[in-house]
This record gives sequence, C-alpha cells and structure tokens, in this order.
Amino acid sequence: MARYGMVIDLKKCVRCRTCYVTCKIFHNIPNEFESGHSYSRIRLVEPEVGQYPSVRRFFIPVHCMHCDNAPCVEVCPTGASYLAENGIVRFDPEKCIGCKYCILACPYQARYYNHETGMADKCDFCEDRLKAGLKPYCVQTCIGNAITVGDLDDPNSEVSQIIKTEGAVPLYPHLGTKPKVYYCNIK
Amino acid sequence: MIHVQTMWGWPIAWYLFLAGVSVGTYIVAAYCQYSKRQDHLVKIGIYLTAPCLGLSIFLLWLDLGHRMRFPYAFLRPQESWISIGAWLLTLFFILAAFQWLKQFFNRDNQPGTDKAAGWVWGLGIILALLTAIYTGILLGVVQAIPFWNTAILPMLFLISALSTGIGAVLLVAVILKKSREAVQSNTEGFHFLAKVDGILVLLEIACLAFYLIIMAKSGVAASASTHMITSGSLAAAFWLGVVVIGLLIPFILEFKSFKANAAKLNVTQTAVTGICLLLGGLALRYIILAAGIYEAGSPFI
Amino acid sequence: MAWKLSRRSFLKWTGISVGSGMVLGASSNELRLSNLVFADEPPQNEDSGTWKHTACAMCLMCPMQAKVENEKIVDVRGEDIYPWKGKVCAKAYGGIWGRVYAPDRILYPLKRAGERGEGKFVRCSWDEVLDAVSTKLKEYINAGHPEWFETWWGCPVQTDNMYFIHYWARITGTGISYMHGQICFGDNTAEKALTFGSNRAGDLVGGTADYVNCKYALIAGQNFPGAVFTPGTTCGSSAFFPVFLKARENGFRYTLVDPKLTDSGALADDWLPLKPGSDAALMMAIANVLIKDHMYDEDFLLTYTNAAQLINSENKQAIKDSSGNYMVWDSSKNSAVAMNEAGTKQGDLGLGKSFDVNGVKCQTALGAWAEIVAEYTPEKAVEVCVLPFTADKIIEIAHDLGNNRPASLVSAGFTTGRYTNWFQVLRTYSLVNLLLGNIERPGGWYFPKHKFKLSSGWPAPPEVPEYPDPELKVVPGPWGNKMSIKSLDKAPCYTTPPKYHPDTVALPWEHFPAIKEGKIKALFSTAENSAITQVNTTMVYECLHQLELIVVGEQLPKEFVELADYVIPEASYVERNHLYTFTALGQDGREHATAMMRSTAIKPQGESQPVSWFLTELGKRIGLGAYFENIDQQYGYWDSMLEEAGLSVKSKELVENGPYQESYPMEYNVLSMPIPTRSGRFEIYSNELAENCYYNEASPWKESLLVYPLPLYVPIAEPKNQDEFYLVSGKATWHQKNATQDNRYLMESGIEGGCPYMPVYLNAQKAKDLGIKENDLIELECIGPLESEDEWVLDDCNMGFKDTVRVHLSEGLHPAVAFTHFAAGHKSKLMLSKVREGIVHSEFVPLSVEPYGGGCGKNYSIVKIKRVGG
Repeated sequence: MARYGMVIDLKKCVRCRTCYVTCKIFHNIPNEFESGHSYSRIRLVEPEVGQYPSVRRFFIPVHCMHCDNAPCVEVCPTGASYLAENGIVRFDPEKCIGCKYCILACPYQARYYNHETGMADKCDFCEDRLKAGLKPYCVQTCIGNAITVGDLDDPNSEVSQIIKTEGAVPLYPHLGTKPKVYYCNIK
Repeated sequence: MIHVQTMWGWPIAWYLFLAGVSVGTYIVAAYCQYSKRQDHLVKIGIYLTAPCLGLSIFLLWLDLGHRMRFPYAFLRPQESWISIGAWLLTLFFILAAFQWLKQFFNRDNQPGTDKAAGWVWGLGIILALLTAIYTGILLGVVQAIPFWNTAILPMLFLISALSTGIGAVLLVAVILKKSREAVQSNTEGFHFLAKVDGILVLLEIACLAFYLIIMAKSGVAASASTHMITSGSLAAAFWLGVVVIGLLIPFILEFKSFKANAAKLNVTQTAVTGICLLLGGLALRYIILAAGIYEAGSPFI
Repeated sequence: MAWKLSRRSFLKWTGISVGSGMVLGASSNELRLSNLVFADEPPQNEDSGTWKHTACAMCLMCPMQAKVENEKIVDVRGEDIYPWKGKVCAKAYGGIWGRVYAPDRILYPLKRAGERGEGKFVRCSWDEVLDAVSTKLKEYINAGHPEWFETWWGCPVQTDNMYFIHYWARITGTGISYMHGQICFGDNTAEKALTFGSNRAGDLVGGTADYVNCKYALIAGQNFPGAVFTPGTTCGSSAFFPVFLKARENGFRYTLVDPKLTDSGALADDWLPLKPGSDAALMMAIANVLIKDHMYDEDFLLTYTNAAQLINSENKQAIKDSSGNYMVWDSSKNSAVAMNEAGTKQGDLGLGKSFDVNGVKCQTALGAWAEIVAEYTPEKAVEVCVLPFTADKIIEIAHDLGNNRPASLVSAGFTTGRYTNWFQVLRTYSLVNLLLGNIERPGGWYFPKHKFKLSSGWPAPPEVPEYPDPELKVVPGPWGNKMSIKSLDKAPCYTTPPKYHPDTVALPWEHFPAIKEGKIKALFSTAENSAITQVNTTMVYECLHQLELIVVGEQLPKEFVELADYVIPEASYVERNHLYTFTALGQDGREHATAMMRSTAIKPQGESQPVSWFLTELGKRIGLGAYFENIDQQYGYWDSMLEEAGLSVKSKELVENGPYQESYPMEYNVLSMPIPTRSGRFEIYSNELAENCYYNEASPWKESLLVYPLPLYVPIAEPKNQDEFYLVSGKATWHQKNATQDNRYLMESGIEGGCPYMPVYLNAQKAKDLGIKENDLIELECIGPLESEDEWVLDDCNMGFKDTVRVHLSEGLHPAVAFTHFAAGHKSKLMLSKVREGIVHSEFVPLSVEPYGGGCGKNYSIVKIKRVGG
C-alpha cells in the first residue's frame, strides 16, 4: 500500500496559477463571482519579506498536508475526516455535519467551508486520478513540473528522491502534525 | 500573514454563553439547595437551567451546515471535543429537564417533592462543571489558533459561567414579584450570592489579565489577537462590553454586599448587576471567537 | 459532464460503505473505505471524447488540444511539441471556462437601446446589423469616402483572419488600423529596425535569445520569465518557462531592472529598482564601465557594427567619400577609406582619438558616444536613476556582463513606448548589447535560421476580380500584412523624409483628430478595447462619442461594447480556423520551425460567427461579394499561404494531425541575413536617424534630442512634491490583456496570493510618510506631464482626472512610483463589478508621441495622491 506524499520544488514554480485554476475548474468548486466566497483547495501564500530595496517575495502553494497526525481528523466529531491507509486524509461528504471545527483546527488553513453544500472540502490529492494511474490535476498541468506526488514509503519513488536530494522540508513541523507535503528551494 | 477565523461567530458565541449561564444557574441552585438557602433561589436556578441549555443547544444545531445529520456528532467522543460536548450537553440537558419538570409538576405539592434526589444533584453538579470546562477545552485544543490554545480558557469560561449564572439568578429574582418579596424579606442568601460573585469577578479579572499578558508574548498570531482585543477592531467591545459592563460595574455594585450592614436590597441595582454580568459574559465569548487568528509564524525565514 | 456523474456515484458508494461501516460499529475509519475498490468509476481523462488540435488565444497562440465530448470542451492541454511539451497555462483554462463558456457571453447580435455608453441593449438579428452597417458603407462609398469607415483590431489571435480583414479594407477602400499594436510594441520595432535592420526587428522585439546558453542578463521592465514573449508563441509562461529552467540548470542568472519587483521577476537573482524613464542613464553608466575597463568586443564592433564610422567631430554628421560611402579610418594607410559592409574587420575604434579627413576633424561613432557616456559615471547613474545602491553595484553588474560576454545580454522588454524618451532608452540597451558582441553568439541574441514565412495570403485575380483602384500602392503592414499607403497609419511613414518609421505598426494619435474632423465617421472594432487601452481616455471618449456608428465584435462585455451601437457576437478562438507559423527555440537548444492551425474545436456558440463571415456578408451587400464569397476561410485561404511559404503540408492535415514542426540545431552566424541598415552594419551611430530626422531640414523632428543619432539620456517630466508619483503599469503572469479581464476564473481573490490585482501599489515607507495605511482609500489626481512641461505631450485634456481606489503597500516598489496592474481596472458597468475597484490607467495618461518611433508614452503619467478614507 502506497503512502502518498507530495513535494513542491519552488525553483520550478513560475507563479502562473495554473494549479489553482485547474483544481478549481475540474473539482467544480464554486466560483467567487457566483457564490460570493473565494473557495480553493490550494491556498496561494505569497509573503513579501525585507525592506526596500532588499526585498524578496516568496510564493508557496499550500495544499492539504495530508498529515499523519492530522488535527482535522482528531477534532472531527463524525469521522468525516479520516486518514486512509494510503496516507491520504480523506473527506467523506456523506458524514459531514458542517460544524466547521476541522476548518478551525487546520493550522495550514487548507480546508474551506462551502456555504452552498454546507460542508467542508479540501484537496484529496485527486485520489480518483491516482487510482487510475493518472497524476493529480495540479501535478499534470504545472508548467514547470514543480509538483510531484508519490509513495513516501518507497525510497526510489520520484517524490522520495526529490525530498532527499533537495533537502525538502514540510511546513510548521513544530506543531507535530506530521505533514506529508514537502517544499524545497524556497527563495 | 494574519488570517482571522471566520467560521464561528455569533451563533457559537451565544451557544457558549448560554451553556455557561445554564451551568451557573444550576450550580447556584445546587448550592442553595444544600446550604439550605432560600428555596426560591433554588427554584429560579432550576427553572433557568434547562431552557438556557436547550436554547444553547438549539443555536449550536442551527449553526451546522447539515442539521439533520446531527446524530453523527456523537460518534467520536474518544477524540473529538464536539463529540464529547454532544454527550455532555445531552446528558446534562436530560437531567436538567427532568429536574425542571419535577419542580414544575410538583410546585403546588408538598415542599421537598419538587426536588430531585441527592444523587441526581450530585450527577448534575458534575455534568454542569464538565460542561463549563468543556466549552473552554473546545477552543483550547485548537493548536491552529494560538490565542485559543491554552488551559486558561477552560478556567476562564468556568469562572464566567458561574458568574453569569449568578447574574441570571439575581436578575430573575428581583424581576419576579413573588421572589422579589421573598428576597427582600430575607436578604441573606442574596447577599451571599453577591459576595461570591464579587470574588468570582475578581478572579475573572485576574484570569483575563493573566490570559492577555501571556498571549501578548506567545508569538505573532496570539499577540495579534491580543492587540485586536485591547487596541484594535474589538477594543470598544472589549473595554466597554467585557471590562466596564461585564466586570467593573457588577463588582462596584456587589461591593456593597461586603459591607456588614448591607441589609437593604436595591432592586434596580441588582437588576443592573444581573444584566451587566450577562452582557459581559456574552461579549467575552464573542470577542474570544472573533479574535481567533491562525498560526502565523513563517518557518522559511 | 461525465465526471459530475461519477462523483455522485462516488458519493453513493461512500454512503453504502459508511452505512455498513456503522453497522459494523467500527470506530476505526480506515477500515471503512480504503479497502473498497471503486469498480466502475471512470476518472475524468479516460477516452470518452476526442482531442482536437487548436490553439489558445488568451495571450498569444500556444498550440492547444481541446477535448470535445458531446460538442462541449471538457478539458484542454498543450501539444506535446517543443517547447510546450504538453503544457498550457492557467489562462488557457480560464479562457475556456471563463470566456468561451462564460455565463455572460454575448451570443447574439445586440442593438443599442438607450444613450451611447449607457450599456442598454436589445437583441436583434444579424440582418439588422448587416443592413445598418452596409447602409452606412454605401453612403460613404457613394460620397467617395469609403475611408470614413475604419476597422480597428488589436490582437492577432483574438480576431479572426487578420490577413482577410486587411484584404477586406483594401478591396472596400475602408480604413484599417492595428490600433493596439503601437502601444504594445510599435516603437520597439522601429528602434530595432534602425539599429539592426528590419529583417531582424521581429525576432529582437520578441526577445529571441539563446537563454539556454546565456550566463547573465539584465532584464528590464518585464515580468520575466512569467510573461515573456517567446518567439511568436506566448506572452506567458508555458513556452518560455521550460527554456528558462534549462537555462537555470546551465547557470543562468539575471538581475531585474524595474521600478517594481514584478510578479515572476521575484525569481530574479537581484533587483535593481530605478526611477521611471531613467534607464538610459543606467545603460550609459554600464557602457561607461565596459569601455573604461575594456570589456567590449573589439573584433565584433569592427566587423559587424559601424562603431568605427567617421563623423564630423563638430557637427556629428557622417563623413562620406565622393561616391557617397560612409568611411572608416584605416591605420595601415593612415587615411580614411570607404566602410565595407559587415563581415570584414575594418577600421579603428578610435576611442579618445581624432582623425583628420581632408581637413575636417573627425571621430568615430563609438568615440563620439564614449564621450557622451563618459559623463555617465556609475555615481551619476545612481543619482539620476535614484538607485538605492552605491555606484559599486553598477560596476558589479557591468563587470558581470563584461566577464560573461558574449553569453550575456541586456533586454529592455517587449512592451514599449513607455515614455517619450523610450526610443533613446531602447537605443542605449541596443548599444550595450553591441558592445558585448552578443549577436548570434551562444548565449546572446539569436535569429532562427529556419522559418516558414507567411505572406498575406490575399487572393488575387483570376481567383477574384481585378482589385478596385488597381493603381493603389500597398505597403507592408503588421504581421506580414499589407495596407494602403494612404492609410492614416502609413501615409506619414512614406513622406520624404518619413515622419514616422515605416516599421511602426499604427499611429493611433492620427485617428483621434481624424474622428474630430469628420474624416472617420464609423468604426468596427474587433479584438481590442481602444476605449480604454489608448491613452488619455477623456480624449478618446470625446472622439468616440462623435462617431455616427460604432460596431463592436466581442464575446464578453467591456467598455467598447458599452459604447457600441451594435454588438456582434464573435466566434471565439476555438470556433474558427487560423494558420500561424513561428520558430521557437526549445529547451533542447534547437530551433523548431512550426506551422500550426487554430481550428474549430466546437462550432460557434449561439449565433456567433467569425469576423470573416461578417465582413463577407457586408461585402456582399455593398456589391463586392465576388471578392469574398468564394474564399474558403476554413482551409483554402490557409492552403495558399502554406504553399507560398514552401510547405507541402495542407491546413487540413494540420487540423487533423496537429502542428507541423521541423527541428534544426542552432547555427550561430551573424550574417545569415544581410544587414539592411544604411551602412550595412549594426548601427551604433544611426545614419537613418541622422539623415531622416536630426539633420534633415524637412523633418519635423529636426534637432530634437529624441532622434539624436547617438543614444542620449533625455529626462522626462518629474513628480515635484512628496505626494506626487509616476503612475506605471505592469503585468502579472496569470493576466495578460483584454482577453483575460472579466474572467471569473482569473479574477477571484484566491488567485491573487500576495499580489492583489485591483489596488494601486505604493512603497510602504513612502505611504507611511504620507499617513497612508494598508487598504486605505486613496485619491489619485492626474497632474502631469503637461503639454507645457514636455513638448511631446500633444493632448493633456485629462489633467485633473480623479479617481479613488484602495491602496496596497509594498516594499518591492521604487518610492517615486505608484503601480497599477495593466488593464486591471475598468469602468464598464457590464463587466464583473470587481473590475471597477481598480483604476483605468489610461485615464491618467495624457497623449504624448515620440518623434519618429511613434511610441505613445503609455506609462507616462504623473499623479498626486492623498488619503481619503480608511
């Protein structure tokens, strides 16, 4: 059984927003101009750091981290949020009662509340596509091939190799969530 | 990158507040029952508990995205504090409702027949205290929101619950003619409650001050929350609603009860005290929710 | 759509399994679903549809495949050819779901039902529109003035058959203008033509360089690499970024020179913010260091440029021999000799020297420029450009360029005409490149050797009747087109001497007075929004309101639609055919000569039609049908062009099989083509500027520093007080132009990340000094440049224009500058309301026109800013 994880190599990211737009379109996530809310499974974090003229602007696409110790799983009263054996933190839309606790509990703010459906939603690594041997949308459409999803338990998988050679790190490791999305070349 | 949470607002604030009030009114009733204070205070306490709790549960239910699926909420009490809360609230409500009904249907009967057995009260006290603490833990376990992530919150909410409960009882006690007369003729229990609340208010001030001081030094997100409350967009609501109305005015008014020869009961002042305590409790819950800011430290720099 | 159904089945499966899970009473969630196999759920990309070969048009024309299922596009992807290798970017997806399938797409003809500009329309029939327009045309033709009717177009890929619309203008005698082209890249083309030759201008303007082997570049005024104009392909990331990544692997570094830390420019290794319009001083300081430290390529200069050309030291005019040849100094003969064409090393660079030619004191072109440049020390550049660094930084950059030459380059960007002095600025960039000798060298500028050259494809007799007015001369127009020499855009380019360089693509400012004078009475606008993209919106609106008839072709609402009398629904870019050829440089370090067809993936939606159909119908109604109705717009037109270009592949094959590519290794050869400048060499001293403009008695630009034959720093008007700023615009990677605006998938707040699209940006510290906080409401007032301040400002009637907008504070912005995203703000009430949160940049830009190059100063605006709210 694979244990899915992701690595994003920021030196291959040109900030084109293709991941954001394709995820939105193909997961049929309501558009802001129709729903009045800006929903997304990918949150684009773009902090500016430094003082003129020594300024850097980073760009970090934040997906669900599919944490091995996920706060959203812990707090969910119904089990709608749960960690599957393949490492993906799944969302069961049949069981969500819309209490919004998971959205508060995620330190990565990776989940969003869909006011129309009355439920939470988040990235699921396009699990349907993975099962069919396809890549998640963001991985497939990324212009720079910056995103890789694969089996963290297999040291020879592409994702494991990249994490190792590029020294990729996860976000907020101090929180103990054990996130499985890694980033490298953040500069 | 400061992101304020937008998920839990007024409905949840009312829910937390009313749950707290119901805990307080129950404890007041229990104490008065066992210390043989005025029976009308016990009655008021019991009559207030189930409705407040019921209303709070209703508001909680209203806030759900999928209301008819609420039974699922009971499924994971081993990990989820919402599940734990669901069980606690349900059990507490059943007990409180039972006591409400017993009291109501036996109101014209023999004194004593309208009260539950000792073990019921004992269980009730446990459930009430757990409920109050639970409302604080619910927020307290959320690591993602540093301002909430503290053991101080359950303590603060417990103190506030007891205080708002006393406020509710005092208010109702002086509004209803029958109980007002009863209180005016024997102010001892009344003054006792006022004194207790005076102490609770002091404790609450200390707890709140301690909470904010600690949070101001607990990282980017927590200090931003503190700033929001003390001098930012929530400052007016905090200083006016929580501090002046919710704590200072009640304390000043209750201070009189500490004077040995405070025998006369001032109806107006008592009512004002009650209203202020309640407003302050609601404001406190709302502000803490509204100041919830997600973890904001960046690990990349 | 298929995948929606599968999701419901997915939900059904989970419901069943959840139910059974509950019955089993397990509290361990993992057991419930993970072991169940989704037996019959086909994921989205299974073969249940056809992939069709077409092209995007959201910036330029990335080859794109569209998956069509039940006549609906359900997915898109790139073609698996170099350099795209299967990719298209966010704009492509936004284009289909946010434009082609936009809920507010204009799907049938509309007729105005209120005052012009009110934006009220009723549905009408095609017949009605065709009647109304053809009636007007007949009226003008009968009056002997078909040119009173003009077609304006702006985007070669958003509009249908750009060659046909020019042909239609020729046949009907109506006017035509590539209005937007000039404010896009017009004067850039002119500058490159006169420095390097017309045959090289297109590639240079397009930024075609051997980045894969480049070691260091100074990249100015662009969103690089996110919105880079790769050869004939994109203004976006999908084609250039793979090349960029390869370049990075090979050690490419770059410094971004721009008042703003541009969107993807944040990837640069370094950022040099400078005061707008001051680039020439920076380039001259770099040249100063290169010359002083002998880091120029002497052999290159003597072999391929006119660096050694002799000019009179007093009046700086070229010295010629008795046969009229330019001259150089031959040290072996100790005399001046005729200058050869490029290819032979000849002459003396003459730095710091003077020569006596028949009693006339002379110096070389480079010698003369070196004198000018000597004044521009790095310290002076720091001062003039208001650089927040010491002079050492400039020296460091110059040395980096010099040490890495010829695999180093400086690039001023594609979009141009930013200030009145921009022509000279471009000249300084070009000269630094010449000093580095980086033309046709690994890592430098490059001209693809293999190209499929398209002509205009105009049908000729006997296919069509003899053209009306057969004596009418046509001259080259934009994109390989042809147009009448009498057109407003071309007439001034063919006077003696030419007022504007013939390679400029349009002269917008000629059209507005023409409208006022009644010389243009009716307008058809397609694929452009001159209403707000031309500068000085106040002036533009005044003119547009004077027109008798405005017809606009579009898919989505915008200002020009709001002003129209008739709106025609245009078939979108995936609903018609068009041929394109270009040669892309790939990440594999090879040239890829490409011929591709945009094709009809889905039929035109609603009642929409391609513009070629509309014009053909008009042509029929005015009795010229014979010229148009037998043209096969799907395949025939393109087949003749393919044949002329020497290709045996047919357009139908391109439609069915996808792009045709021939791949070749790169060949570095400076003289793969002749150098058609006056001297036959790359011109450091521009003989054309000298002879057509600066020293020409008959030229309106005589003695203007802006056409001095050697590049100069010419200052522009400046903000004077602490609360005054240059208002500049720039692009973001996920936004390009008209086509990406009003697009609900490209405009959500979630997509913005840290670059909010609507506010005006100010430097954080500067804002603090003015008491302005993040997200405050500020008011901008247009206060300059005034006609009285800068002689090249022709119309400042928009002075005093005010608008309020939210502010965003950034450390990544030069303090002298207020920044707005290009074409972010709009004022049309028909568009998504969010666009009205931004400002319309052109409202704040007066009309200024550069001599000869004809740039319209589209960034040349000075505003006063004050806080008006929280």
